[in-house]
Amino acid sequence: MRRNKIFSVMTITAMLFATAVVGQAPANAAGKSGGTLTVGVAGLPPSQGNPYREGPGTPGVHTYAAVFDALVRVDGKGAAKPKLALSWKPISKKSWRFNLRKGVKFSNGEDFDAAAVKATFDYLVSEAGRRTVIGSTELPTVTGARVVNRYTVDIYTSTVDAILPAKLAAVYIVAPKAWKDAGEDIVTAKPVGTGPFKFDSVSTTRIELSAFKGSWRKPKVNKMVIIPLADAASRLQALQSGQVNMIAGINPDQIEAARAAKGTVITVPAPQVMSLAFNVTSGGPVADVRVRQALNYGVDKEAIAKNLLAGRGKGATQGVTPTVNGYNSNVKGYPYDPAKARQLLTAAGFPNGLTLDADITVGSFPSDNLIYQAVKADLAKINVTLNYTTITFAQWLPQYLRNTWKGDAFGLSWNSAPRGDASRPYEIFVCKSSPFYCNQAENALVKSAQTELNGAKRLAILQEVAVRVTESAPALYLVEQIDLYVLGQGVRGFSVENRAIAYERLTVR
Amino acid sequence: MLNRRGKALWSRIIQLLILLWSVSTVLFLLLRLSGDPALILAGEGATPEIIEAIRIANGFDKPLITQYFVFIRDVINLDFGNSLVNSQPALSFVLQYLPSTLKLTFLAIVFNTIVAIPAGIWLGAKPNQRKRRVLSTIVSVAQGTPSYVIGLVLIQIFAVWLGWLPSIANTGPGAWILPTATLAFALAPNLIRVLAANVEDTTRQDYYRTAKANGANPTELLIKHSLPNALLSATSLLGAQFAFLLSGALITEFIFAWPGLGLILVQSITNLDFPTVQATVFVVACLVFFVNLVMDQVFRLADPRLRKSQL
Repeated sequence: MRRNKIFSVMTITAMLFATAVVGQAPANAAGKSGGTLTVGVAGLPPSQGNPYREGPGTPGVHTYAAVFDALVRVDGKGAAKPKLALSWKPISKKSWRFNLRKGVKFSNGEDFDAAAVKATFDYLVSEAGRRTVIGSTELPTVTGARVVNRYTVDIYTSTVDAILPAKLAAVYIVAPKAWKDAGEDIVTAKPVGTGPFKFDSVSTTRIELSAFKGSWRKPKVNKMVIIPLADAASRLQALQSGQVNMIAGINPDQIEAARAAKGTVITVPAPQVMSLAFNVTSGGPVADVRVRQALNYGVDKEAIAKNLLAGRGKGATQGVTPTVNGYNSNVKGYPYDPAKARQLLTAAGFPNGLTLDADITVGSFPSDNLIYQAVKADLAKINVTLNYTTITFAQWLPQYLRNTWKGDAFGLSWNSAPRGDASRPYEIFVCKSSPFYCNQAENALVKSAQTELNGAKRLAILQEVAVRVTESAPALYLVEQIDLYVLGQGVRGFSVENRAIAYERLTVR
Repeated sequence: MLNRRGKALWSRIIQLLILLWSVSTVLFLLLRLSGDPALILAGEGATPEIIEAIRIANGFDKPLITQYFVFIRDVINLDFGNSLVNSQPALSFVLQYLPSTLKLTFLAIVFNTIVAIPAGIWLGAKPNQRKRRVLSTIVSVAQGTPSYVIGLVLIQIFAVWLGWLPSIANTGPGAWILPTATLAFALAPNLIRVLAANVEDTTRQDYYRTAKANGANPTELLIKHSLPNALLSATSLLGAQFAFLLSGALITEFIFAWPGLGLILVQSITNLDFPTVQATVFVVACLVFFVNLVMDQVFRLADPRLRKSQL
C-alpha cells in the first residue's frame, strides 16, 4: 500500500513533466517558413558588436559578416576585390586612393561616404584605436585618411604598403554618427553597419538580428538568430533536431552523422596551416636545420589529412595554402620518408633519436587533438619522443610574444586570413620581435615584398620566400586546415569567402 | 545592549564581510598570476609599445599593491570596473545573468528532490530486496556518469529522435526541461544514496526499535521516526548541491547555451577579463553565503536541539 502511494506520487510527477514537455515542442526547420535563419556557431564575439577589439577571424566573423562591410574583400585566391570600395590605386609611395560605392546606407539611415571611412580610420589610428587588435595588429602602417570628395578617400601609410587594400578586408566601417553620439562602448551592444542585418538584441547566449532592407546587400530572410554552442556535438544535435538551420564547425568524424540527418556538408579550405613551430633561437636539437627537416620527413601528413580530416584537408607543403597569394605550387615540402628522416637525424648527431618537448593548444582546429597524437605516433617510429603539454591560449600568448618557451616546439597556426596574402604569416613569424626563428636573408626578402607595388614581381618574391622558408623548416608543417559547415534541409544560397558567410544570399524554407 | 539574536546577526554580517574580502583578495592575486590581459587585448601581432599602452590605459602598469588598494576601494563601492572585452559595467553585466542561473538552480533542486526523496526512502526502507538492489546498482552507475554524457543523451532522445523538446535555451519554458533534467539526474544519485543510507541507519536505532516494539505501524515508523532524522542530513547535502549549482553548472550551460554565471565565468577567464571574473565570483560568494544562512535556519527549524544554539 505504502509502496503504491510512493509510486503514485512519482507517476503523477512524471506525467506533469510530460505534459509540460509536449506543450513546448520545438519549432523545427520546416516550421520556420517565416524567414528566420538560425545559425549555430562555436562562439559569439566576446566584444559583442565592437568589430575592432578582437582578431578578424572566428568567432567574430560569423557575426560581423552579417552586420558590417569592409572596403574590400579577399577572394578565394587571395586577390582583393571590391566591396564598399569599387576601385583603388596607389597615388604615391605612401598613399592609396579608394573610390567608394555610391548609394549605400547604414542601418540607422546614415549615408556611407568618404567621411564615414575617414571617421573609422581616425578612430583606429587614435590612441584608443591603437589599443584594439585591428588598430594594432592589422593596420600598423596606416597613419590616417583624407576625404578627397564625397566618394573618394585617400589612406596614408607610414611605409610603402603594397597590399594595403587586402589588409583593409579586416576593417569594418561603422556608422560615424552612431559611433560619435553613442560612443564605442555603447555601439558594442548596438552596432550599426551597412551589412544585411542589424542587431535587435545581444546576450552571451544569443544574438538576434533583423533584416536591414535598405542594405546594398539586401537579405532574403527576415530575421536571423546566432546561437553559440561551444560543443560540436551540441551543434550537430541542434541541427539534427531542427533547432538551427545551419552550423559552422563540426568535427570531421561527425560528417557522416550530419549527412544521415540530411544535412549538406560543405568543406571550405581554410587559409591556415597547422604546425608545430620550432624554438630555433633558443638552441637545442631543433637549432639544426637537419633535425627540423628530419622531423618534417618523419610525419605522414597526407595520412593525417586523409584519416583525421576525412580526406577533405591536405598535407601542408609550406606555410601557406593554395588559396593564398604567394603560395608556391612548385614547393613540394617534405613527403613522408622515415628512412630519410633517420638519415638526417644521424647526420645531425642523433643516431639514437631524441626527445622533444612541446606546448600545444587544442580545440582551435578540426581534429587538432587527434592530429597531435598522430604526430607523436609517427615521430616515435623514427625514435623521436614528443612530449607535449596542452595549454590555454592565455598561457600560449605571452610565451609566444616574448619567446619564453621552455620546450623545443609549440603549436602555431600559419594564418593568412583575412588578407589572404602570404606576407601575413611571413611578416609575423620570420624575425618577429623576440623571434622563435630568424633568417636575415629571408627577412630581407619578406621586407622587399612589403614594398613591391608590382603584383607580378611581388608574387615572385613571395614564392621565393616560400622556397627558402620551407627549406629552413622553422616549423613542422602539418595540414592545410579546413572549415566545415552543415546546412539543414531547406537552406539554400550558401557561400563563404575568407570565413565571411554571404548571409544576404541565404534562403530558408 | 544587543540581545542574542542581534549579536548573532552582527556575527553573520562580519563573517560575510570577511568572506568577501578573502575571496576578493585571493582572486585578485590569482588573476594577476594567471596572465596579462593586455596581451589578449592587443592580439598576437601587437608591438611592445601597444601592449604597454594598453597596460597603462587599464592601470595594469601600476605596482601590484597600488592596484590592490584601488581594487578594494572600488569593491567597497560595488564598482568592479568595466568588462575588458565588451566595456559594460562588470557587475551589472553579471547580474543580467543571475536570474537565469537562479531559475536553473531552483528547477534542478526541485526536480532532484522530487525524484530523489521517494527513491531514497524506497531504497532505504528495505535495502536487501533484490529489486531494490538492482535500483541501487543503477543509482551507483548513474552517480559515475558525467553530466556531459547525460545532457547529450537526453538531447539525442528528446530533441533529435523524438523531437519533443528544444535543447537550446531562450526558446520558451520547454527549453528549461532538458537542462533541468540533466542537472537533476546528475545530482539525484548522490541524494538518493545518502537518503537511503540514512533511512536504513535509522531502522537500527533504539528509538526506532522501541517504537516498533510498541506497535507502531510501518507508515508511522517511517514518517515519525525514520524520515525526520534521515531528511536532516540529506538537507545538508541539498544545501551543498544548491551552492554548487549557483556557482555555475558549467558543462550543462555549455551544452544547452544556457545564459548562466558558469558560462560567463569561463568566457571571462578565457579572455582574462578580470573585472567580469571578479564580479562573477563576488556574486557567487554572496549567494553561497546566503544559501548557507538559509540552510542553517532550516536546520534550526527541523532540529529542536539546534534551536538552543546560536543563530
